[in-house]
Amino acid sequence: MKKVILISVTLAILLVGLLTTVASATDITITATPGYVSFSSAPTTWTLNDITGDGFINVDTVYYANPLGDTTPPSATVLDAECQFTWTNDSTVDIEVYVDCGSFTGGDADMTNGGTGSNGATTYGAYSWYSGMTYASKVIVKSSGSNVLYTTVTPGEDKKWGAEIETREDAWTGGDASTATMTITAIEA
Amino acid sequence: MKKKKVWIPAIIAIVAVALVFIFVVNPSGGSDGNPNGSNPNNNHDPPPIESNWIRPGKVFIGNYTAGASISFEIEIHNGGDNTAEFSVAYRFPDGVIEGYSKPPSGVPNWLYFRSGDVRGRRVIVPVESRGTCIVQITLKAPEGSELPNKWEFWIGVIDKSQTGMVITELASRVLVTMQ
Repeated sequence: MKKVILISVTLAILLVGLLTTVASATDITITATPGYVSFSSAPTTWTLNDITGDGFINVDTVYYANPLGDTTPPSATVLDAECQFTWTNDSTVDIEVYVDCGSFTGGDADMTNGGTGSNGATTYGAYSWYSGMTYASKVIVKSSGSNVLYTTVTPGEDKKWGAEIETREDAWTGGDASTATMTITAIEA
Repeated sequence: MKKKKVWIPAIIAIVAVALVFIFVVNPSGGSDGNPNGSNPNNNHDPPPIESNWIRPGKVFIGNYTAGASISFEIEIHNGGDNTAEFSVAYRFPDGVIEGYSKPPSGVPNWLYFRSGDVRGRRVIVPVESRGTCIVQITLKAPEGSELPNKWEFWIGVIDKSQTGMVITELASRVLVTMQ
């Protein structure tokens, strides 16, 4: 009787030990939120100084994505009418919005993003803002790692937004235009 | 006869211990680290057919250890009128959720993307108009890697058919908590 109990207990201990070993190697968990991310912004085009201007771009000049004027800054509290773009959140979840912008390349007006909001000899400065925002709180647009522009876009919410770019200080090397890509990123808050 | 009566409760006890362990102590089950029933695309909301979307918005990986391989999926929908290519790639996060660190520099080399025959460290996948595509993403940090206790990276999805200076990127957060 004692022998049987001893064997049973030993087997039970071995079994628990075996299962514990297996479990420790397999207990990574993976879960996910159930919603989806659907977000858009329009229009997708922006040529500096070409909303109301003549499209010619000068150095050391700030250009705004402002339908009221390419060189007109927004009001102290940004108005809808001063924003060129509209984002739409068709997601089922709250969205955070970030805006990054890469280098202008491919022409004679090349310039890199200085990442400080200010321009330099061959660098440009950039900011983004949205309707209803205190303009002085505009967010620096970097080539990557910009701070969040808007923390909670609720499902179904539209919002007007804009951006500005201060062109480089040094003269252009020629007359061919350069292009850049500005990316608006939507991610679940 | 007496010996049989002694063995029966002993066997029952062993089986009970095993069953309790399997169903209570280790509910995740499975042998690949991906627990049964944890489909990250479990969503009962009807997504829009005519808009681009991705899901899930957040993926939580828990109890991760360097050297382990873990896979999850991202679903991509093309709401456009034509077949479009979508790039799916690691994205260094602009910002992270409070309590999480930015990812180690090696993460781009620790990810592997696969969708059908398309595979690599980043992929460009064609998605039919109004269709969806599933991309499986596998994370495997080298054994011995020093990783923050909680860290975050993004998976960025860009519709390559977008034109103009301003393009939209949809991203999923991947939130990793170490064991």
